[in-house]
Amino acid sequence: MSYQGLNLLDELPAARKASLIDFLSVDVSTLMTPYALAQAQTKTPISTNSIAGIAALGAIPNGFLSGTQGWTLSRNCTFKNSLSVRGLLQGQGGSGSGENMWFVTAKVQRLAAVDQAAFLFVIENAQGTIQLIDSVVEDCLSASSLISLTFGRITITGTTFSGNYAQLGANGISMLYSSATITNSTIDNQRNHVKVTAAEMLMVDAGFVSMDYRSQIRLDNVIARGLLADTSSFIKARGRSSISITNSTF
Amino acid sequence: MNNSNGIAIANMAAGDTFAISDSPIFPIQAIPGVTIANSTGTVTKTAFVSNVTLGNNDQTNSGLLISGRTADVTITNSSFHGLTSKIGAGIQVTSASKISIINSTFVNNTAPIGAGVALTSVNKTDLYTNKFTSNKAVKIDG
Repeated sequence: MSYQGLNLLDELPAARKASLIDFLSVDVSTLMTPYALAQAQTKTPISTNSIAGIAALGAIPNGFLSGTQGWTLSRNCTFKNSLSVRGLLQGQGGSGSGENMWFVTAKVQRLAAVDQAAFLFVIENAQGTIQLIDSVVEDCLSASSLISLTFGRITITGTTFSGNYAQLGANGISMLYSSATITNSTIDNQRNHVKVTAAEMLMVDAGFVSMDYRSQIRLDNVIARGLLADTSSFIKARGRSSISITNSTF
Repeated sequence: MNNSNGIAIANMAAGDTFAISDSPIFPIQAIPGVTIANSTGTVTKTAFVSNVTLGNNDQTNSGLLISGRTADVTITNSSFHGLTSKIGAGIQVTSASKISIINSTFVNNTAPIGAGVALTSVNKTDLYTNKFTSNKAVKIDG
């Protein structure tokens, strides 16, 4: 397996680097039962990208912390050095009451996503909401976005996003039929601890937000800097989406 | 305690509580380390550790499995290491009234959904000062 593009290990002490390499080099086949492995091998792979080099998963695994149809308050928690396929959290509400998750003073560091979002993967959660308050999200590497919302809602307040990168889509948030509010927050990609090359930065569609299909975003007192992308350095909006920006600096 | 058969606590009478503390539970094999259903109590300073590889029929192997609409469980200063499950390797909650997880660590756990913690239909979950490190959300079953 190849791990090209996942250079976030380079600056770590040798012992820690060795343990992380060991972690990231896990052979997925060893985690499957023989029956499941046989099934997986017959499926078309979802992703064969180079972020973590794990191909032929043929699945939609997601979440180190998952929540469905309930209330979760996370305060002062740390999420770091972890590998996902689609995100840290599954807030799937379906036709039920939705999942409400509050992250207060969370520290999110060095998450890698093989497919889609490294931090939050929220789908069919229109009845629920995700709140990220006074938190830090840094040095994450995603296939298509840090936070993915499909029929989802998120409110972000007092949070710093630093050095998060994606290969495609948007470095920050991708939205379909979703809404987001970001206030009193800083988005800074002058930092590049994951060592994404300039050419790779230009492959991503939007510097932070990509929105489509009647999505809505409101920004107030947001500072954004150091973002680089192919189409738009901060927001790319289409599909009857709406944007409101006040008191912000780009 | 070297436990391969697990602990099951279920349907305690109203007002009764359980308490598990200072009890390393390993290795955790085909069944959850501890199963709690419709009961109220605490798990404190307890380590759930496993390096056991799953077999064909091992669908659930969570360190701690909690269920029942009246379950009210507080987990404090505990650790969940090296666990593998189809869902919720560290802790799986299928339903509960209230779950509190405080000062606990989740390291090197693997599950497609909720490698550290998987919560379904929990009225209220409080996570305070926990650390989720080096967990893997990858597919382990078809």
